[in-house]
Amino acid sequence: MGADLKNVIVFAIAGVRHAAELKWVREVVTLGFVTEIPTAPPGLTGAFNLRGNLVPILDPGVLVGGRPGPMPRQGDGALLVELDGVTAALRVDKVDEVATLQQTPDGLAVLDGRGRIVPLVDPSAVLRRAIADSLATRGDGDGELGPELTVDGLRPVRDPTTGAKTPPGFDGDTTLG
Amino acid sequence: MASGDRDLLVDFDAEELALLRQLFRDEAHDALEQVTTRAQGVTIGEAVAEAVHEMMRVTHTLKGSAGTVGLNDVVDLAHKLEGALAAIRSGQRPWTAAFAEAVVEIADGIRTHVDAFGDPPRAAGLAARVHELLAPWSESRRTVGTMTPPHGTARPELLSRPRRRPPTEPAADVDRDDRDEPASASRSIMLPGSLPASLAADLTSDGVVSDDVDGSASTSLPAMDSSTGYDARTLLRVEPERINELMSAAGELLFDRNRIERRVQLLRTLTRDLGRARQTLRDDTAGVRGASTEALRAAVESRLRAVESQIAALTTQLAQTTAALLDETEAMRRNLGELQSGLTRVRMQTARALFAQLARALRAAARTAGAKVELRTRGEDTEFDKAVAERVTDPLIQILRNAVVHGIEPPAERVLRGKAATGTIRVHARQEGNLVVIEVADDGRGVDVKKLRERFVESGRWSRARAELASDDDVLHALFDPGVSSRDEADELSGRGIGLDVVRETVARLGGEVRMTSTPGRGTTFTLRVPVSTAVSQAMLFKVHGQVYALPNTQVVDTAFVDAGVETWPPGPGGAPVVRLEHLLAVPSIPLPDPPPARRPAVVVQYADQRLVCTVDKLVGPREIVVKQLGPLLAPLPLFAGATISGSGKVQLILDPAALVRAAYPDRPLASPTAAEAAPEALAGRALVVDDSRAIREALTSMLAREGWIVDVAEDGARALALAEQLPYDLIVTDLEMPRMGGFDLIDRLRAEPRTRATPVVIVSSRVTPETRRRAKELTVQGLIAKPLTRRKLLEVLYPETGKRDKG
Repeated sequence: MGADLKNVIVFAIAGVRHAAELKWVREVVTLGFVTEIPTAPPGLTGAFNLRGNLVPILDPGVLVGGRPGPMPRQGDGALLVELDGVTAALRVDKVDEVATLQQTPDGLAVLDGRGRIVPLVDPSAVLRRAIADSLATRGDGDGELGPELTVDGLRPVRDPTTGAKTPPGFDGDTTLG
Repeated sequence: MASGDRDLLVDFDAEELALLRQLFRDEAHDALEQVTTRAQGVTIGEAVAEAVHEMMRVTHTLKGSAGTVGLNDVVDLAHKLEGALAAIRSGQRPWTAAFAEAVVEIADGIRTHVDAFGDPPRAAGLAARVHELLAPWSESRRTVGTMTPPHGTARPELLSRPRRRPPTEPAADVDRDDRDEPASASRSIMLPGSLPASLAADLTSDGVVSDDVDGSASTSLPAMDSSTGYDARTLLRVEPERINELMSAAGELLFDRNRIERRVQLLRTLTRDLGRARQTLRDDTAGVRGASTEALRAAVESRLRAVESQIAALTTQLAQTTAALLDETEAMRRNLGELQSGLTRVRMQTARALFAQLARALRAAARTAGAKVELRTRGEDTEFDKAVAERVTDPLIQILRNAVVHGIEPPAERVLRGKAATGTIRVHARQEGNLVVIEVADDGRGVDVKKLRERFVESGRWSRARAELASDDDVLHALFDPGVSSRDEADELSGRGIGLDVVRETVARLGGEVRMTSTPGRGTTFTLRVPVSTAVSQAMLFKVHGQVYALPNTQVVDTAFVDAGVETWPPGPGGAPVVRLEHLLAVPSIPLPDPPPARRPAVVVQYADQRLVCTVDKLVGPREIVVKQLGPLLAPLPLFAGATISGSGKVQLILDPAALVRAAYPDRPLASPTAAEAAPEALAGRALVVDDSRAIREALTSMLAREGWIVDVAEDGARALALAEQLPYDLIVTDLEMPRMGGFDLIDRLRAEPRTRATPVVIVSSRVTPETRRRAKELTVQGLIAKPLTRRKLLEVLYPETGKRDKG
């Protein structure tokens, strides 16, 4: 266990060096124009357009329980991570290196070339936490994770009285009993 | 045909008849396929007797179903084919290779005829042709004896109850009552054939690109100018098969709905029964309290036990009904999904029409420029959303014009360079995952990156250092920046205002990208990658706190300038509440200038009859936007319904009007639920319909449901038996010849069970013989109906002594 080697990417968030296993990181990107998301939870700091796709930007500092980083800006570096089809960009201060490093016995960190302890970040946990935070903003117990209806022209609308999402034309008027 | 339809409208409404015929068509195809396979099977050595028996069976079934849906020509043809087969079976005629061939031809002929039922003259012609084919094999005799007459003249036979009134008398009532139905059964789909002739002509010449993909532009281009050409974009062209798919999905939904409605009715009955059981229980409980003697107590106890077992039975039924309801809901969900994806497919079009438009535009451009160019296309069958196709057309035309003006050299120069005098532009479409990739490649002079670099420096656009540091790719893609043209003169063809920057912007709005590669002297290739499908909608855009937001135009009823400080707009009673959008968005408001402006711009949102006036920092205006889904991270945020990407590549959030209104009217009480409609109490009971023909099952279900029956269906005896073991039926209507377990076997088994010994059974069969009658009588069958089935026949059997059949 102690001799476990990990392929990691080493980066800095809020001035602190962290490492993440490479398997989670699809690519390192430069942020385009960052759109702020009002009413979003603190870890969800914006969104940008990557090759025609909307990609949310996360502040890993907040989501791993550390200090929040600065607001993301165009030109900042970010790690593109993906979990079960959910893609997000983790904003980082800078990327140090990609290396194969030894894991500490407790599995929570790796040792860099000079023997310093670099804490490991689990991007999948960060993503899950972000989704949970986002769901918590609803405050109506609708914790169901599911893809939005994507049929053209049948975008779900929310009933103002109940908050329930129903596609137009299917207003659930069937009452049993 | 028309009068036949009118008669049938007594039995079914127009919608139902169309759907039943659709079902029948599928069944007929299957049946005729079986006939063909069997006939060919005999040719390769299968047993004649067995094959003939099977062919007769399916032909017979076909005949019965055809009569029920009113296709009498098919009844005739099937009847004759059956007769010809019977002659073989009875040994009057030997099976020959010629007969086998004739059977295959006849089956094909009937199939074509069935397909043509929407076109009576054609269908009649086809039927005549099949009659000719049948003639040599038909005998003018009825010796076979097993066939019922082909038309619906056979009266139903009541076996266990007397028929009280002459069958002809009440017919007028039935007819009059049902004449309220629309008389026309046909619902037309608008197809090119029904367009005005001029329009249809335009469509043909416009929308079709020659199949000769490598043909030169001069031969393969439609002979029509883009200026006079009919704009194919305003009409959605849909292949008939897709409409058929949708029809069939919609039909399934109709049946699903009927079934679910019947289950709900049943649930209501069960609720009522439960209520009665409870009442009994309550009465008896009171009885126990007052019971003085032991004997009385025992009596009450036994009644309580009876109630208990009654409740147990109801609970079981409730559980079964709920389970069935769940199944049916699931089926409906599936069918809805099919309908939705079918509709999405309807919106899809192939690249063919796009290519035709490009060809026309290229021809016009080449003529104006005096260039000789030919267009070669590939991937005509690539499909993409109509909205996407519309939006990439202009950028592609722009690229083509650029190629003609800037790319393709004059013929003399081309010959000098060792190229063919005529330039070639290749347009190639293909699908890659969710993207459509369109490549436009010319074999012209290409872009000289070195020269371009110098020009950027000369024009002051780039510094020398930047030009030196930039990669060739960077330089090439700088052509997409606003205000850059690779030629100095702004010419008419490539357009003054619209250049590559607009191409990139348009493609970016779609959520796609455009790339460019070029080899000097060899040509330039543009590659567009756009999503296959996209949702485009109209939106109102405005700025709040420096960011642009959008609201769907359908919910923006107005824009206004609102006086500072007012709480409703228009001021006074009846005005809608004014909300500062930055408050709803919880973003810091931009400090207002001093003195504050007297009025602020606002959008008036209306959702679910509630209005809201949202003040904003600045109105941007109405735009067409491509709606993007937010994804699992952002979708839970209540204020946003989606996002869009601006022409400059910025993400813009689409606000959810419902959420805004909800935020503005937080204390709005819930809408009172609509009172459940009164339950129809008149129930005839629960019936089970057993038939291997789907068309017959649905027809019977429809007829019985109109009389208030709750109907379950089974496709053969075995399934019916399983159902009858679970649920008590008040009526079983069964076919005789079915796979797995036939009708008589089923009735045998039902009669052997105490629970179903007395259940009324009605036989609906296309084969009514003395033997059938004898067995039916033995098995105490209530009635025997010869196919083709009509509502009148069914009612005469079901309600022989009442006036029930007069009911509408």
